[in-house]
Amino acid sequence: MVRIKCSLCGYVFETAGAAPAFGGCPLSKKCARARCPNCGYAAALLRRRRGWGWHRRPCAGDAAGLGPFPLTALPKGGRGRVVRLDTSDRLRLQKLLSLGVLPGVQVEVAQRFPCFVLNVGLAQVALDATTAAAVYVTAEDAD
Amino acid sequence: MSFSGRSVSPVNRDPGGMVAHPGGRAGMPRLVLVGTPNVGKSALFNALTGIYVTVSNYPGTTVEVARGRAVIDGTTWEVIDTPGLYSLLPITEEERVARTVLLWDRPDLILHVVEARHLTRLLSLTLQLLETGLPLILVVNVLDEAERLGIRLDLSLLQQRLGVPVVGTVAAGGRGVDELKARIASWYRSAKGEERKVG
Amino acid sequence: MAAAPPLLFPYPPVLEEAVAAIVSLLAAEYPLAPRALALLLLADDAEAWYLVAAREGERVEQVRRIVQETQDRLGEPLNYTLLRHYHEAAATLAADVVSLPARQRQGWGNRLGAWTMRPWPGLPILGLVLYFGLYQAVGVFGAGTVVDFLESRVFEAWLNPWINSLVCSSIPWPWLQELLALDYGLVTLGLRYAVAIILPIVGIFFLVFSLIEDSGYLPRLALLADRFFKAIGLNGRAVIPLVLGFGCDTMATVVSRTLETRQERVIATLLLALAIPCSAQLGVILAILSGRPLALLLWAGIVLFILLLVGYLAARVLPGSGRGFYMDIPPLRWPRLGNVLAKTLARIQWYLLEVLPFFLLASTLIWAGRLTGLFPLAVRALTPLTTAIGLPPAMAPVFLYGFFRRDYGAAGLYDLAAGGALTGTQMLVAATTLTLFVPCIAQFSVMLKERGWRTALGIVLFIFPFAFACGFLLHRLLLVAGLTL
Repeated sequence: MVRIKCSLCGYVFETAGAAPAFGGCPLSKKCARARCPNCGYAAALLRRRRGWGWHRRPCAGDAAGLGPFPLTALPKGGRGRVVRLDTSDRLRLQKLLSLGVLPGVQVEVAQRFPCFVLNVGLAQVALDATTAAAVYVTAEDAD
Repeated sequence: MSFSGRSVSPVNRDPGGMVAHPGGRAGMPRLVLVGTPNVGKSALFNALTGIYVTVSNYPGTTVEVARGRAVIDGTTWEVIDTPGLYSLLPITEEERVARTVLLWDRPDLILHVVEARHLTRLLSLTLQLLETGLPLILVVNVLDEAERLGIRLDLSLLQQRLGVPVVGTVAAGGRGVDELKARIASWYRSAKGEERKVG
Repeated sequence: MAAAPPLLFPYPPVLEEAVAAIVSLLAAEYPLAPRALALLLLADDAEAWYLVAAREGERVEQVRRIVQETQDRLGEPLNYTLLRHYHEAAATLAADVVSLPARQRQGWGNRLGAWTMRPWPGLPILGLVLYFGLYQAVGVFGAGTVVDFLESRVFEAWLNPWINSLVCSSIPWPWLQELLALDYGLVTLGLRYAVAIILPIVGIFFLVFSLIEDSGYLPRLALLADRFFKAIGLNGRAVIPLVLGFGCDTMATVVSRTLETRQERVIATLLLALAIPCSAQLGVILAILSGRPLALLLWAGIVLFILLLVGYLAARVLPGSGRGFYMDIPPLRWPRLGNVLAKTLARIQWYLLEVLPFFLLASTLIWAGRLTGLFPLAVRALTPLTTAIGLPPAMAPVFLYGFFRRDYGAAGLYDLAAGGALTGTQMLVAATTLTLFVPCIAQFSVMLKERGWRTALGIVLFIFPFAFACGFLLHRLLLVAGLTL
């Protein structure tokens, strides 16, 4: 469940699941925005950063203090703490654990394309978007 | 060295039935090296046995189980290098091979080789191995790289917590290998002593 | 066996209860501590279940029920619960033992490492690696300089005449003379192809591959190529077998067992057999087409297109799905020369042991085929096919030998092209068809061993007509386009 605070009216709402929340934008399916049920504004879960690609490069600024969201919504350089792994694929779960991606661990997104590259401790780990989307994090401030 | 791996896939066989020589071939004690890919397992194998096998920097190129001999303190050991293993619950064919050697082939002593830099993540397998009750020495390898990165490791504290010997090495450069051999020898002496007492 | 050490980190009570219940049920003897076995059962480990099912009889059902109940109570896969427990325990333990530096340094290795993972400048870097590693080192130096030297200086000028005269003067039977020497002899053809043409090419490829492997570049390549591979039903992990295939498809087929699902292994085997030319083929094709850049480009484009098309279709036809891509990215390192050389030697040794016997076998078969008249017959059967794709009848034996050894075919093509028997367009058609054409005997035998006879046979039965259909289509298209190369 993703909790989102609308940046327009301040209404806090929960989405039924990750997929609808992240399919809420009329411009792109990959948009990390969701529509606020209170005011109808496509609330930016994650605000855009400098540079191109509004939809590809969200910013974690607004997400601090919100509920867990998929890792894929973190911008490059963004940090998060893993809260849970959201997949029923036993082997995928096991593989993520063996790479050191497990609840409680802090990760930093070093790269988003063509694959996600995470800094986990002193190690670097590459994940494709599908696998990365199964990793739910809460935002942490970058220092 | 060959890429045509030994076909050990006992999924549909009774693994217990595979124990052909309990206690090692011709009475030779058996030393098994385990660990994730790319931690210098093969380099350590090389340092112990003096035989070269591929040292891989990529998961999946050492397919075969390499075997060699090492003379440590007058005792000849059979040394077995296994393919990369992440956990005791295998995912790939190679992991299955490694686990077979580990669990069903009755090694006398296990060397769990980890990379110092990634100790946090790799200790998980150490704990799993401890749970099996198999005798274990933890080898913290590639110490030099960790030192270069400014990581400090308190290996004596780790040894105290784990309750098994912990040795730091740089296998590719030969550092720590003598100490490891000494630990293996002393483990062997005490194990033999115990055996005699029981007998 | 030593006594179990004290438990460092007890499990959650639910699991401890389940473990205790299972341990109390297990009555038989096992090569493993009962507690460890109980944990494996909880994690739904196939081998553990097999072991227990064979020894516990009816009690297995009770065990199964305990596992199921525990799973239901925790509401997540138990392998995950267990492993997470170990990882968390490891993290707690390590927190006291490891002290990290306050700041990490940004060395050149880190920066270059980051570059190689992004499309820019990662793709240009990949281009450089391919240009110098494959084209310059393997193509120009290996297949050109070294092969020329060994072929013309060592074998043609020195060894072959010596062997021929030795055999003719000391052996009175013509059939044995032909087996050992002369045009198709074991020494003059089998050994010559193996040592003078194939070995330098494959050897230099293995050297380059070991260098790249030890530098830590391959996982980065896997990451870059992941999306591309997803389109053909594989993932970035398949980079290793497919790249290794450019050295020797036989070895690559063996290594394809490191892929995680059966679907991936079958697709990789198919693509290796169909569209990945081995270094010998690649070297020869680069050599004969090097004077015709347009033909070379077309050849590469066509083969790449077929690789994508067949992979794409296979991914949709074959059952099962790929698993996601996840990989450790090691830091870039300077390769240690000793390691690289030892590894290269180990691979060359493997190649010689595994492949040289097939060379000699193929030579013997060709000799027997010619002696019994079977070969001329087979060549005659193939001739209509070769003429249908616009090639001279002299190409028919090349295809036939190509089946015995991929590289035989390639080497035969080299001889033909060097003799000026082919036009530019014919070279393109021949090179394309020969690249796609059936795998050699060595590769086929490995396919049988690794994938089973059904899959292996299916792949070959698909490739044979497909290769010629592609050749035919290409020939017609070139005719219609009126292209001369």
